[in-house]
Amino acid sequence: MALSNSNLSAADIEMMKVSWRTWVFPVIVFIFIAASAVLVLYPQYQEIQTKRTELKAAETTLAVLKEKRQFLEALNEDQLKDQRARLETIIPSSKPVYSFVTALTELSKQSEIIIESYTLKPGELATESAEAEETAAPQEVEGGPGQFSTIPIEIEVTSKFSQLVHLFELIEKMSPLVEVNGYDLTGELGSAQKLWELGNLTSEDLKTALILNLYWSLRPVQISAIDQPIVKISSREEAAMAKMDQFEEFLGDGIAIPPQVDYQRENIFTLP
Amino acid sequence: MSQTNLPAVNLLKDRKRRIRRQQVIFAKVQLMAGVILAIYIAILGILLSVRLLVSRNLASVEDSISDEKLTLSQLKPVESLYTVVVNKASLLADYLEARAEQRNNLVNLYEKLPEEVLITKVTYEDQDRTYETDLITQDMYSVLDLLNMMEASIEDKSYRVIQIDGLGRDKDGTYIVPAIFQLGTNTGENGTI
Repeated sequence: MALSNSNLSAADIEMMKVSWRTWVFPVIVFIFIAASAVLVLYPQYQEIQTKRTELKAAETTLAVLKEKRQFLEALNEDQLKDQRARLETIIPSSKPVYSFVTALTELSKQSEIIIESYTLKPGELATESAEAEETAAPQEVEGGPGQFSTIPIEIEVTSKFSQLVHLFELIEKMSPLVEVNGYDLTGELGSAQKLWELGNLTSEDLKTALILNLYWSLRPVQISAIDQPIVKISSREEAAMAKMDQFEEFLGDGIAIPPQVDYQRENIFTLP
Repeated sequence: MSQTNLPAVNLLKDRKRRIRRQQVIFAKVQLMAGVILAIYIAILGILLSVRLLVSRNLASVEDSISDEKLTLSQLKPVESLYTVVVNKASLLADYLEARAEQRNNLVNLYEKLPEEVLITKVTYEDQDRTYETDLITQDMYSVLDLLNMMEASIEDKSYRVIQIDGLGRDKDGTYIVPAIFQLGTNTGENGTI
């Protein structure tokens, strides 16, 4: 049975109003919270998560950078320069043709062998400096910057066995690094008395064709990225550096290079 | 019948009670909604504060990173120097580990041979670490000594492989033994003849 307003008393109307008003505020609160949660709360939460991730990554980077800085600050620059200079003589950054030829002359003197002939093919030479070459055309070398490159050398020598053994001994400690890659030795090697121990092994001299590898290496062009941890020297590398003293530069008298002639003009094909 | 004798009936009493109850519910609901709103605002406030804090920390760490990078860029020459030293030291270590001691290897080969055996030719290949030799001797007993020496060299792991490519005798009675001696790796391997 439908009730008309006329049947409701003022008190009933008041009660209904009270009942309706009861839920206005909670509904507004609910709508506000729901809308705010979607539009403000959740994006803020996501933002915090992102920032926290960024913060963690930044803290890790900072720790790496701090460690790297402390490590680099603790290094002795003068000592490093000495080590580099020593290593440069053992593994040069440019093709060590001159130092090798000088050393070879000295080696033949020290081991008393006769060098019949030698051939080496150094390829393109650095015309400016090692630094200029390493940045100019690092692809041209077989190993690339920071890796070994080799210059093959063929040498023919005539010697006694003891002299050849001495030559091998000298080559093993030669600076720049040289390795015997192969050899072909002919001659009568050996006797009932093993006379080589006395320094006079054979009745005839041995002929040996040696194939050597002369090592060099371009300097690494790039250092590690600034936020990358520094590659610390390993015990293996430290052990190798401790053995640097066993390598010797056979400088001797060197090769006499004639003094530069001053032609008084830049282009010799131009009349003065 | 007089009206005054009738018991009094208060028809508004029940209604008033209902209104009062409704007012209590109203107050409770408003209070609860208010409390929920306050809690939500507090959470929102905390969240905003946390965000501000994290942002500040991030900015501070990023500033520190910039400072460190600036210092590191000033230390670049030292780093470059150090990188070259490490690189060259690493190459030297590679070389020292891989190199064959030619002097000792040749002397060892020679010393192991029986005294009556002569070497007339040695070809060494570093790639497979082999000595290709032509050995000669004047009598058969030396050949037997040579074979014994080869067996002993395999047993003591001086060589990985020893191969005899033939055994010949010349018109002048010289025995010719072409033999290959292959050195083992630095790790050591079992030998075979």
